[in-house]
Amino acid sequence: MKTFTDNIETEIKHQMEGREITPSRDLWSEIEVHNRNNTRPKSKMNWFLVAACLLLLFSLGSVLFFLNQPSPIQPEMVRKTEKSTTKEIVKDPVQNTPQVAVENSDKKEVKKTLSQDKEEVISAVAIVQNKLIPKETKLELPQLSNPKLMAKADSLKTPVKKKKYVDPSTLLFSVEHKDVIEKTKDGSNVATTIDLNAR
Amino acid sequence: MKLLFGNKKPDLLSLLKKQDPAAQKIFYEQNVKRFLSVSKTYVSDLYQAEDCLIKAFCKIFKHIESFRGESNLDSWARRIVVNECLNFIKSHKTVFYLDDINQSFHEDIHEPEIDCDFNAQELLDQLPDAYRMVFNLYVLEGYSHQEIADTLQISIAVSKTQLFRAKEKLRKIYFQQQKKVKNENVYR
Repeated sequence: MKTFTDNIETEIKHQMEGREITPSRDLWSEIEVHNRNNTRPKSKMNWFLVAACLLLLFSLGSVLFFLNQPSPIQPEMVRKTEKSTTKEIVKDPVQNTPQVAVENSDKKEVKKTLSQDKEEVISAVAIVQNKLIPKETKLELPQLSNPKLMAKADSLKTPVKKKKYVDPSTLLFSVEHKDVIEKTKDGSNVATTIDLNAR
Repeated sequence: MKLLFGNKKPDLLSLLKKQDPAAQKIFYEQNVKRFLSVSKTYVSDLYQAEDCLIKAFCKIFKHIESFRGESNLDSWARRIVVNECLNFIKSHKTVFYLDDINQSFHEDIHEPEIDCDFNAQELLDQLPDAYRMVFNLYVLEGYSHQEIADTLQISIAVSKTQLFRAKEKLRKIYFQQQKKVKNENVYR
């Protein structure tokens, strides 16, 4: 048998299930406003993120830019090193002069050319100044007016040859039979007879 | 009929998941009156009940993607409305849950069948918040005592006690109302 409370429960449930209440105000407009407010912060957050990323990138870029810029001390170091190289380059011809002098028969002429060479090289170095590079100096040297200097420059490049000692008898032989030797140098394969008795 | 509804509802749901304003308005218009009735059973003041409903609809539209389709969309939305009303009561009012009592001392008194003319909302409005919440969840929403205990963060015993007291209170209120009606009829 149903109790009173059971009856009242069922009655309340029955009344509530089918009941509908019309709102006293326009709820939809308020819901729309809430929805708009809920969607806006997401876009704001995105913009904040984008702005933060851009700021971070800019700051990192600026830091890297300033770090990569050469400091004012470094050019001096470069200049000093360049000067030292020029000095070495200039000194080299002087050091090589004795060998050249020994090889050449005319010592006086060699000295003169060397003195001129020094002047020319120094002048060339003065023109180039800071931009001096070993390759550039090599290029400029052939442009020098004096042909002797060119020869001298070639001598600088070529390694020092060992002294060749010639046997006096062979030297005498070569002088005596100069004509025959010249013929063979021309490339002719004609066998020649050397008359050792002929003078 | 089922086929017709079956074709229509997934479309509305998919549109709701895409946050389509037109679909949202259709859903609102379909359910606002029924949901306001639900809200009113928990929150006696109509204006506050409407506020709860606004928040509930906003939550429904916001979290519609989390709806997996395991249950009916209406029942899922109704549950959100109920939870919103419970949160409102918890945050705006201090609810006292009395200690559990021995029910054996309070046996049900068998009364004659009730008159069906009474207003259920008036009865519920006169119930204290704690009683009303438990009574509504148990009777109207079909929650078990375990679910009520989990939802309201109370023990199962307290839930049972609250329900028992709510029924007692309803009985008293009902008889008071009946007496009033009788007296009014006598004076007329």
